[in-house]
Amino acid sequence: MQELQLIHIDKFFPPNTHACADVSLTVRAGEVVALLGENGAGKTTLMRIASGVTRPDGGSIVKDGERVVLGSPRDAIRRGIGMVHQHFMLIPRLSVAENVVLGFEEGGAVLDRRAMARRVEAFAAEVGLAVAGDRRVEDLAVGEQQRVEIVRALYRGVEVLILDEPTAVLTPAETEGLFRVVREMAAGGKSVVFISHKLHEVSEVADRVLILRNGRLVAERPPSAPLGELAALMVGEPVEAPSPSRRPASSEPVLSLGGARSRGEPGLRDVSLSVLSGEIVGIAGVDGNGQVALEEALVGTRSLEGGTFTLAGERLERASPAAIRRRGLVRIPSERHHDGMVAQASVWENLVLFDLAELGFARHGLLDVRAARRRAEQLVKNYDIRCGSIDQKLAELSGGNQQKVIVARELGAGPRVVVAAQPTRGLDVGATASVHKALIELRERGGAVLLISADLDEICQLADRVYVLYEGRVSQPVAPDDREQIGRLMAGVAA
Amino acid sequence: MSSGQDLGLVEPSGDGLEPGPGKLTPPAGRGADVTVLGQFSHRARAVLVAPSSQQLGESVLAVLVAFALGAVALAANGINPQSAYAALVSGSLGSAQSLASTAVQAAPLLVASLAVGISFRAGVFNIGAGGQLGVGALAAAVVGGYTRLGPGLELVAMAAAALAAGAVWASVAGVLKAYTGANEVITTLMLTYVATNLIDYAVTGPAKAPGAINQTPQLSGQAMFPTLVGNTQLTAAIIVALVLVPLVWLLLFRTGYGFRLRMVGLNPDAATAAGFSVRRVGVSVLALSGALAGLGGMLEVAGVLGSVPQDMSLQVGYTAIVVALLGNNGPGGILLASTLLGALAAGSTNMQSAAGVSGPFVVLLEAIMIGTVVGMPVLVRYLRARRRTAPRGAEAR
Ligand SMILES: Nc1ncnc2c1ncn2[C@@H]1O[C@H](COP(=O)(O)OP(=O)(O)OP(=O)(O)O)[C@@H](O)[C@H]1O
Ligand SMILES: [Mg+2]
Repeated sequence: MQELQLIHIDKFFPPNTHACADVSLTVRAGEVVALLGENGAGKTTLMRIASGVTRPDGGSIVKDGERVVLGSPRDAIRRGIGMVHQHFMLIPRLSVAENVVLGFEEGGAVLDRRAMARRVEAFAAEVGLAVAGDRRVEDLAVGEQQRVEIVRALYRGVEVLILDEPTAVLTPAETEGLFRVVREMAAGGKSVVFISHKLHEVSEVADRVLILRNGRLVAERPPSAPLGELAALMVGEPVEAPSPSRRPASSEPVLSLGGARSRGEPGLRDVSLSVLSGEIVGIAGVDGNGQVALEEALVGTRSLEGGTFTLAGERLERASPAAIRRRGLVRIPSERHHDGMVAQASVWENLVLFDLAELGFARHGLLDVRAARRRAEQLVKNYDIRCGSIDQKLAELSGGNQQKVIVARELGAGPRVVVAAQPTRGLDVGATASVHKALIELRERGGAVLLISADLDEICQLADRVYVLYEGRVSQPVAPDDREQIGRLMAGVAA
Repeated sequence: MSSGQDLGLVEPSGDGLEPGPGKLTPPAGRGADVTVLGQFSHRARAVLVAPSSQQLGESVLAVLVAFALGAVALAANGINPQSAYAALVSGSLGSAQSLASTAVQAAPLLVASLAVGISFRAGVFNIGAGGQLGVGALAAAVVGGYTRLGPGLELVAMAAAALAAGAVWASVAGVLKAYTGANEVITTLMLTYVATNLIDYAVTGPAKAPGAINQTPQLSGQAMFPTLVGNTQLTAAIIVALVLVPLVWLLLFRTGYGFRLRMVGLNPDAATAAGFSVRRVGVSVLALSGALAGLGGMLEVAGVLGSVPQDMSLQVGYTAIVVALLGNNGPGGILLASTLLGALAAGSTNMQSAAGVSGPFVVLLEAIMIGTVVGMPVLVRYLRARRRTAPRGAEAR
């Protein structure tokens, strides 16, 4: 009968961030506990403490009635506590089985890879997860990588599994699969701590909902609590979703692709689409159907092999990323760590990353640091970015606040066209609402938005027209309220 | 140094500087990165391009570790470490004379290290600063030896020649990298050997001074920096070197170019998406780095040597890598670190004569320092885990 208790946990990051303030909670055997809170509320920090990644400044951890000191994730795993992080910790070049086994089982001098792979697969099947033991992790889609992470934890005998925003990168079907595994674990007497910003998921899978605000545990609710109430508890005030006033767009296309083709897995295959000024166009589809290729084609980091790309009447198939940007197209990238930010640079440097010349921060080659910092301060305020100071390294911000930095920089640049790929991934309800509001405002001012999102609710709520991307091809435009047709197109079953 | 080579050699094929248009991106877990360090973890990149903010402590620790292990090595060879180190200190700091010789040693090292540091910041691994320094020295010696331009102007012309020669030399690597994807770690290293042979050819042939000795013509007084302190080798060359420190700082932290350079170094993909040209930064930073290193050669010729000898040592190019890493690739840190290593070089002569410690001992110390500084994050993590505490540096989510 295992049980994890966190008692009076405290964590302070100098100079001024109290990430966890006197947090006490208990996770009992066989229960699924959801942890909710705004971006920067301290969810990840608290769970990193519980899993031995971070040392608390104060408080204690009790596992099965015994006080434990967790010096490393290894210690925690030995005590049966494991965490699947917002960013996976797998070694890309190794196989699935190697990732699962290595560092845990010593084995003989010679590894029998084949046997190891079979053993891992058998184990995974037993807990209801399908993984291919001998594939390399770098060849797997995110959802599969996550399954590997979970198998890895369970293989090590983890009894308390912590999942940090596990569904942010999953398709709806994968999410369903994950929930099945979570429920099975709970039925088998294990416990799960589940961090998410998607409230409906929380009420679907959790037995208990804990809410953190500014590092403090402020409430506990049953999963049946109204979503509005949960949101209000997180933010401290009621959240209202922006309501788009649909008004007819102009007939002037700002952005268009005609028969665009590009390489990739999958690349674009004969993609034609257009976005009018004053319009939000949604690209629906299951992740991995060419979204990245589309994004990169539009910003110029992946060249087209054929077809046309027109921005405000100008043909730009061969234009450089810089040239495209100068013409007023910005992007919120889906792979934010990869091409959206410089994690080891400061918050302010990231906030002005693109705009040095345009905003006059680099006159005669000299950087006007004072002006750039002033601009950064202003963006931090406008977009409610929670950070200790603008000199902090971006890597030190919470996941959601890193995303806010990118959103602020891109939307703050006064764009004509926005390519927004998964713009609210990892954002809390309040921040999501404000990004949506910003996109709607841009449309009202005559801007054009291409919203690429795996979140169908987001698309249906915001878009004026929807294309569905399936295996690198787009459908004919669909009305956003025709969910059934969109669903069919996403599954590739409709013509 | 060997770490630098390894880094280069394991990369299967340089894929050029720029991910740019046409780059294929696998859907998940993108493997291929664009620079040498792409093959390595982000942690490796962080160590070499911009070491952690706790770098000062780590550098100090690295130096202490080096001295401690050095003491063990000395004792094992039957030499009293205390007296050896006492000789080292008195030879580098003990008198006005020895202080001056520390400064003399530190000046070209400082400049070469600034050159290396700039390139590291951009994620470009110029490990051939020695070669660039050599051709810079040769160019300066030729200009100074064969022209008469009058006081002041002569030195300016020599500096210009050195800057140009170093830039051209490193640009060979830059252009190869940009257009063929050749790894600069290997090309800059190879070019250092070519530089050695070029010097050899020049001082035995076209640029040989009259007389028996193989060297460039002895520079006239006008072609030499004036002495600052009588009876020492300390010349105005040191002032030039010191002025470069704030200039490099300004370049890195107060110009748009420096900003692009640093961002490209830290994350080439994000920089590309931001509209910066990774290729352009790569080519230009090699030219710049080479020019600086070349200037270091001019300072050595016009400050100390007076001519380029056949066996001119280009070792300083490798020491500069140690300095840049110890100094966090930043001008301030590099100033401190080059002073320290300059002192080691200056004191080693005295250590040799007074305590019988052979010259290469200093190289041993440098090797330990570089090993410690590069391995420090791993070491620190290990030590912390032992003390059952978690690392603080790894808190990035
Ligand atoms: N290593 C660090 N150094 C400084 N501050 C940190 C560090 N790690 C976390 N913080 C700060 O602690 C606070 C809590 O961060 P945490 O990552 O726990 O938030 P979170 O609730 O997980 O948010 P999100 O929903 O955005 O992921 C944030 O303000 C963050 O900036
Ligand atoms: Mg988090």
